[in-house]
Order: sequence, then structure tokens, then C-alpha cells
Amino acid sequence: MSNEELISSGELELYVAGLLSEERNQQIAEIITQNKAIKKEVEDIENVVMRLARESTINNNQDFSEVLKKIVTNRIEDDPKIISLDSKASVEQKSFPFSKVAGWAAAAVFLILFGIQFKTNNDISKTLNTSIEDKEALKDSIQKQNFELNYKENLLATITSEHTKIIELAGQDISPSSQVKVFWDTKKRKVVIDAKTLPQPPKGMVYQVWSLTLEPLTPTSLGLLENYNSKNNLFVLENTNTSEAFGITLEPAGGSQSPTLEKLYVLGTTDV
Amino acid sequence: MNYLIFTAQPDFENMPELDRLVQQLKDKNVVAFEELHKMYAKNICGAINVIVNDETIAQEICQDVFLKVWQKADTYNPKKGRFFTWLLNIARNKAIDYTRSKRFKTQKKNHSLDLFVHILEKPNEGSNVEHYECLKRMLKRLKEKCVELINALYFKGCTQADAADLLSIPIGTVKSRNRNCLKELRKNLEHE
Repeated sequence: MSNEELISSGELELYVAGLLSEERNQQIAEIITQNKAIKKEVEDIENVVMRLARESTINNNQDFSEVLKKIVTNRIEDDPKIISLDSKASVEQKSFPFSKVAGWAAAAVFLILFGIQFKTNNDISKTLNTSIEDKEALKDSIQKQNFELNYKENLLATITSEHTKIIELAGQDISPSSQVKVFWDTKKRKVVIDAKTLPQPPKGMVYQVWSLTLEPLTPTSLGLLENYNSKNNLFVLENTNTSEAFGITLEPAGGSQSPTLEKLYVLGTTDV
Repeated sequence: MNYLIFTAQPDFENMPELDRLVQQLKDKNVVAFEELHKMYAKNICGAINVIVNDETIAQEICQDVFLKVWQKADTYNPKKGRFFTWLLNIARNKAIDYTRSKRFKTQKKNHSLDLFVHILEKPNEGSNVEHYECLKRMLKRLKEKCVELINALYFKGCTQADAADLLSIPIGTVKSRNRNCLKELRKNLEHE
């Protein structure tokens, strides 16, 4: 099909509306990556739809900080979603040296500002433009740091609370080298699962966390470690149970009603 | 061990801006997320307002849409469609969910979902006069059927078959009419 034929077919308009079959979508996505004329056409169509949509609101102030607030609240308070923290050390230490980090951050910010100032002295007119950009970048950077700091603080509040028990879950036969820590805040009824030593689950499988009471043995699912990988290995889950042990099993995607004991990766009791 | 497998880093420098931002969003980069929010929030809020017809509610839903975008960014697959299309789809679903809620039903019993008609009929008042005038000029040049079709396909989330039913036209006509309507609209925009 030539460019003109594809453009006049009306398919690209339906592509932007999301109304083509998955197969055709993939074909057009592939064409776009290789064909500038088609890419331009799709972008033009998209711009018209975006323009129409934009014209339908009079509200010019879409507040990004409100979105951030929702993300933080949702992660920490309500939803057992993945917390993406790369820093392993920050998790393992019971008390995190925030004041030091803040100090270093302030020093880094000062150095950047100092750099901008130095440049200004050398070339005022040139720097006038670039410093505006630098300030924007700095603002973004600080905003990002504040956001990350904020949710790390919330997370660490759970980990370091006086009501928090730390339970070590030891690797079982299927994975002897695995070792998982559970930080259980019995007051807020939350658990933080530090699961970084679990192996990457096979496709279509997911780790599921269980709270166990022992007499009689009753497992209760606390949730899934969705999208577990080497970067996303710290999770916050609700736990309203009087847990006597915790375990993690590997289950088919979506989780199971009861644990598959043959796939029990780690286990540990709370009376430590 | 399996979990020590390293994945190749994307070549950010040679990526188009949007692709780069989307890839960074998938990697949970807040700065890229803010940039995408800047690029799309107003459009998405507008698309939601098409359905809920309430600026405050639309803004609230819009925030929820971006919350979901942040949470589900890793599920977006560029091979399955445009990023904007993905956003629009989430926004539509959230807005339609809202219109099915008790809150909406009690507040907006007689509400019409036909946004463009609603906007065209909206009186010119206060500071919004110019804003609505602009859309009016654009839409006046479109036939009424075009407005209905674009509204159905892009904002109400109708399939081609649904739109054909709604407008009482053959399904084969939907694609060509939509093409002609958007073409016309593009022409109008170029003359703005």
C-alpha cells in the first residue's frame, strides 16, 4: 500500500482513535517508525483530536502536585502497589540518615547554584538564557528529590516504627539462598516486604505473600508481588491478621486461593 | 542466578522526544512524568469534560487518570498504539465509570453527553467568550454529522459498529466519513 493509499484509506484516523485490530495496530506502529510521511500524518491527526479535547475545557491549571500527592497517598496508605526504591542500603538500615542525605543534597544544590553563578560572571548575556533553563532543571530536580524523599520517609516510618517487628524469612528447599525481610508495623497494620533476593519469577507466575496462623495452620493471602524484578523488590501490603508466620510462594499470575506448598520459597515465624 | 540478568539500556539520545519521555516514565522517572503531564493534562481533562460536563469533576478524574498512568506505565506498549490513544482510553473509561456512579446520577440527571452540542449552545459569558468562540468557529464549519461521529469515535469510545448504529449509517461509511471530517477540521485549524 503506498503512502497516499494508506493516508486516504481512513485507517490512520481509526488508529489514533484506537479502533483497529491489534495486528493492524502493530503493522501501523511499525510503518510509523520507518516512514516519516505517515508519522507526520498520524501526528497531525492526533493534534486535531488533542486540540478538540483541549478546547473542551476552560481549566488551564492542571496541578501536577495534586497528582503526586495522590500517588504518594495511594502507595503508602491505600494500595499495596510496588514501591520502586533502588537503594538497598536505605531499606536494610533501621534508621536512615536523612539529615545527612539532606545535607549532601543541600551541598549539591549549593554547588550547582554556585556553578550557575560562576558562569554568570563570565558571560552575563549568554548565561541569562541558560540560567533560566538551569533553574528550571534545578527546580525539576529538587521537585523529584522531594517527591522521592517524601515517599521514602513514609516507607521508612513504617520500617522504623517502634511498633514494627522485623521477621526474617529463610529460603526453603526450592530456593535455599533466598532471604526475605518482613517489617510488620502492628499498629498501622502494614507490612513492608524486602524481597530482593528472590529469583526472577518465570513468565506467567507471580510471588504471593501469605500470613499464617499455626494452630490450626491457616494461610491468608496478603497480596502479590506484582512486577517483581531487580529494581522493584520492595512492597507495602496491608496485614490485619494476627500473623504467627509469613511465607512467600510462587503462583500462577493473578494469585491462588491457597498456597502451593511445593513452591514455597521463604518462610519465617514472627516469634523471633 | 536469574535475577542478576541485566537488560540493555535504551538509547535515549537518539530517541524522539516523546518516545524518550514515555520510556523514562516506564522507568518511573518523575521529571519525565511531569513533562508528559504538562503535554497532555489539558487535553485529557478536556476529553473527560466532554463526558462528565463538569470542570471540577473532570479535573479530579484527570488526576486519577495520571495516577493510573504512573502506576500502569509499564503496561503501555507502543506497538499497540499511540501514547495519546492509550491516555485517551484510560480517560474515557474513568469518565464513563463516573457517569455510571450514583454521584453522577444524582447530580446530573438530565445531563446530555453530547459535549460539542453542549458547548455550541453554551451562552457566551465572562472570560470564556473567546475560548468558546474559537471552538464555535471551528465546529460551525463542520457538518453536524461530523461532530456526532468524532464525538462518538474519539470521546465516547464507540466502536465503528456502535457509531454506525448511533448515526444510522453503513459501517463502511464510518471510516471514510471520519477521514473526511477530520480532514475538514484540519483544514479549518490551518486557517485559524
